[in-house]
Amino acid sequence: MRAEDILRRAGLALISVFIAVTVNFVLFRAIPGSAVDALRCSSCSPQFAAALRRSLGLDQSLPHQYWLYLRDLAQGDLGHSIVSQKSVTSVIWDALGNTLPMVLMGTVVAVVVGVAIALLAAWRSDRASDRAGIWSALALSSTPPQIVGMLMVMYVATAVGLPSSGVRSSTLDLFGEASWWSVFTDRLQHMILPALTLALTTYGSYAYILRASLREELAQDYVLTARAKGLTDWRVIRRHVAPNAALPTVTLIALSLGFAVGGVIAIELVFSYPGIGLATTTAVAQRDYPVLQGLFLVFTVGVVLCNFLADIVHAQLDPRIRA
Amino acid sequence: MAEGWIPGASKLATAVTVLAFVVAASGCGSSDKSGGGGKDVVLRVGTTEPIPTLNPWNANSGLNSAQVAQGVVYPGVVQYGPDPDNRFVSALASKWETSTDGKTWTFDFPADAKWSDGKPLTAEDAAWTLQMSQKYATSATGFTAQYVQFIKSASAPEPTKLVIETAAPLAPSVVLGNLTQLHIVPKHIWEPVFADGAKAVPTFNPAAKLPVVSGGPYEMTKYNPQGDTVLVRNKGFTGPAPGSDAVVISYFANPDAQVEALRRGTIDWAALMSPSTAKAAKSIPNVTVTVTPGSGSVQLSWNSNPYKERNRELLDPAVRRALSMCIDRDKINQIVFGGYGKPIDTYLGPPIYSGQWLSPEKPDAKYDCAEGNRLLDELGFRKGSDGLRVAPATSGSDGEAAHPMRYVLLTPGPGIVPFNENRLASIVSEGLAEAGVEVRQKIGGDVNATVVALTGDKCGPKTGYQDWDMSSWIYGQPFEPSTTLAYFISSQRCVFNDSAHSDPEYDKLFDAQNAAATDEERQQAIWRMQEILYADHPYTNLINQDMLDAYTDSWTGFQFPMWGRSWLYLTSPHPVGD
Repeated sequence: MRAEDILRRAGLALISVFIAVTVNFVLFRAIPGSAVDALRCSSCSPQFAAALRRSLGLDQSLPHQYWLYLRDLAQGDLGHSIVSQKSVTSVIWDALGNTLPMVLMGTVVAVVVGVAIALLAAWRSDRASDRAGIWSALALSSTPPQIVGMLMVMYVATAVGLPSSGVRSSTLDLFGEASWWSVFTDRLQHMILPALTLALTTYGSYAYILRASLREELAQDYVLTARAKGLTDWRVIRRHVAPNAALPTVTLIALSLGFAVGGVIAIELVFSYPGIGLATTTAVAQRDYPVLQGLFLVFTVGVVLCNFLADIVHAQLDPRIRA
Repeated sequence: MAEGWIPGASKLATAVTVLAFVVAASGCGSSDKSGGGGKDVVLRVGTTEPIPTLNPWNANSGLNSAQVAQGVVYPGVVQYGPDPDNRFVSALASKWETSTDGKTWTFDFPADAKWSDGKPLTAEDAAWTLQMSQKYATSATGFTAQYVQFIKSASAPEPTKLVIETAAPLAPSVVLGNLTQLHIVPKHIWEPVFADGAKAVPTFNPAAKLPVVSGGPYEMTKYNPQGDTVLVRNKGFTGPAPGSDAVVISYFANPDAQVEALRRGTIDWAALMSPSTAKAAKSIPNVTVTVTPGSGSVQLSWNSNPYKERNRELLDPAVRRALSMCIDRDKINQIVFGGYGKPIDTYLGPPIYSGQWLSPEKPDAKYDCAEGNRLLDELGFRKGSDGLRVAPATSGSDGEAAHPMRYVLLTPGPGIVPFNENRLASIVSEGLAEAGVEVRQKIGGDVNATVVALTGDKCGPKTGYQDWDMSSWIYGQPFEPSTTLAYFISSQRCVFNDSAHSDPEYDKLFDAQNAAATDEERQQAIWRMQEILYADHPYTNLINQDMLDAYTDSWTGFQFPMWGRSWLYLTSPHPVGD
C-alpha cells in the first residue's frame, strides 16, 4: 500500500472518530433527565441540586458543553466520573487492563478452535466430522453469550474449581504482599471462564468463514495441479490452499478484536468481571456522562483503528491490493 | 503470498492456551483464608449492591450501600442499635447527657481514640465536621443540610467533650436521630478539601488515596465499587472489638454468581439476595438462609397533584381507596416476590424499623373487589356497556367532560427496582380491570428518565405531574420516621414527593415533629401525620420486601436489620465458638 493511501485512510479514520464523538455527545443528552435528576434524596434541596448542576457544568448551554468537551478532549482530558470522582482516563485504563487480556485470550482460543474445525471440515468435507464441527459452531455462535456464561457459572465453575466472578481473589494479599506468580496465576484463573465464553460464542464465525474460503480454493485449478503432482490432501491444504484462504479470516480477526472490546458487556456482567463492559453498564445506570463518553470513544477508536489495521494487513497479504 | 499463513501462530496460541489451563489447574483447590480456619479471621461478604461513594456529602451518599462503608470509615457521634426500645447506642461518643433546660447536649469522647493513621481522634474532629456541615448547608454540604438544622452551635471545649447547643429543647430522638446521619470526618484530611469555599467537597474522593484514614472499627485498605473493598481492623479504635480481623466486600453484578461463590466457599455471606437465588442457596450444605423483615416498601403512588388536568376523579381519596380494594397484594407477594414479602398497610415500615413511631391506628386495607365495586357504584362511577366505568362530567375551571376511567401506570424500566415491575403492573391492571378500570403501563426508563416522567420536564409549584395516574416504586424504611414522612410534604414537590401530595396541616405537623421538645410530643405529631396519610391515601402500600441473606454455618451473630444503619452490620458477625 502506498504512503498516500495510508494517509488517506488515516484521514478517513480521524473523520469517523470525530463524527462518533459528536454523536456520542448528542445522544447521551437527548435522553430525558440528567445525573442530577436521578437523585432521589429527601435532603436534596433545589439549591443543592442547582449547585450540583453548576459543579457538573450541566447548567451551561449544550453548544458550550460541547465546546468544552472538545477542548478538553484535544488536551487528552476526558474529565472525571460524576459518581466516583476518579478521572475517566484512570477508570478506562483500569477497565481496559482487565478486558484486553481476557479478550485476547478468548480470541486466540476462538481462532485456534475455529481454524482447526475449518481445516478438518475442508479436509474431510461433507463427512460426519465436518457436519458435527460446523453445526456445533453454528449452535454456539447463535447462543447469546450471557446464556453460555450463565451455564459456565452454574455448571462449570464449581465442577472444575475455577472462579466465576471478579478479577482476583479477594483475600489474596490481605495481610501481606503476594508473590507475582500468585497474582499472575490468580488473575489467569479468573480470566479463563469469561475468555472461554467469548471463545465459544465467537469461534463459529472463524470456522465457517475459513471453511467457505477453503472450499472455494479447493475448487481452483492449481489444487488439481497439486494433486496431479501427487501431493496428499493434507499437504495441499496446508501448503497451498490455507495461505490463500486465510485472507478473509485474518481480516475478520482484526475487525472482531475492535468489536470484542465493546462487545463483552454481557460476558463481563455475568462474571462480574470489572472491565470495559461492566464499567459501561454501571455508567449507563448512573447516567455518568463523562465516563460514558470516554468509553464510547474507546469503542469507536478501537473499531476504527482495527478497521484501519485490517486494511493495511489485507493489503500486505494480498499482492493484488498492494499493487 | 508465500508466507501469508502466519507461520507459528497456531503453535503460539496453543502454547498460551495450554499454559493458561496448566496454571489454572495448579491453582485449583486452593482456598481463601476465612473465618475460623486461619490465624487472621476474614469475613468475606458477597453483595449485589455496589458501594458508590465514601464521601458523606456526595449525592449518592444516602444509599444504604454507601452507609455500610461510611459507618465503619467515618462513624457518627452516635449510631442506631438493634433494640427498638433503646434505639441509640454509642459510636464515636461513649456516652452523652443533656442539660436540665434540654438545650445543651454533651458527648464524651474516649481520650485515647485515634484515626487509623495514628492521629488523635477527638471531639474537635466532630465539632469541626458539624460546623462545616452548617456553614456550607446551602451549597457544598447541602446533602446533609436537613440533619444540621437543629444545631445552634457545635464546639469542643476539651478534646474529649463535644457540646451541641440547640435553640430550644428538643426531643432526644430528634437530636440523636439527626446525629446518626452525620458522619464525622478527620479534620486533618478534610480541612484542605473545605478550602476555597468548599467547592471540591461534593466531588472529593476519599478513596483516591489508600488506605482511607478511618475512625471506626475498620480501616479501608482497598476500594473498588465493581470489585473488592477491603476493611482491615483499625488499630486505633477503642470501642468493642469487631468479630473479624478483616472484612472483604465483593460486588456481584450477577446474583447467580453470588450463589455459586457461596457454594464454592469463596464467600462466607451472600448479602441481599433475590428470591430466586435465596431458593438456590437453600440447597447448599452447611449454609443457612435467613429471612428478615426488609426495610424496602413497594407502593402504588396515586397522582395527587391538585393541578392535574386529566382524570381528576382520582384526586378523591374515596375513589383511590375503592380501587385499591381490587389490588390483590397476596397475589403480588407470591408472584412478584416469590412469597418473600409481607403485605403492608402502613406508611412506616414493620415495627423493628418504625418502633414507637408507628401509629396504633391502622387502615383496614383488605382485598375485597366486590366491596370496591360497590363503593365505586355508590360514588357515581357507573359501568358502560363495554364494562368500563365512566367518570361523570364535572364543572368549574378545572371541570372535565364525562370520560371512561382509563389510567396510566408509570413504572421504571427493567433492572431499576429489585423486582419484576411488569408482573406487578399486570396484577394491578388485572385487579383494576375487575373494578371496570383500564390501565395502560408506561415505562419510564432508567432512574433519571423515570423521575423526569414523574415530575415532568418543567416542574414547579403548579406545573408538572401530568402524564400519569399511578406509579410504582420501592422506598427504604429508615429508623428515622421523618425520612419517609418527608415524601409527602409540599416542599419536596419536584424533588422527592412522587405523589405530589399536599396538605397544609401535614406540612405544619412535619415541622412540629422536628421541633418537638419531647419524644412523646413528637410521637403524637407523627401519629397524626400517619392518620392524615391514611385519610388522603396518596399511596396504596403493597408489600414490604423481605431481606434475604445466606451464610455458612461457621459464622454467627449477624445483625441484618442494621444494613446501612450501623457498623454493627459488619462488626457483629463472628466465627462460631468465638
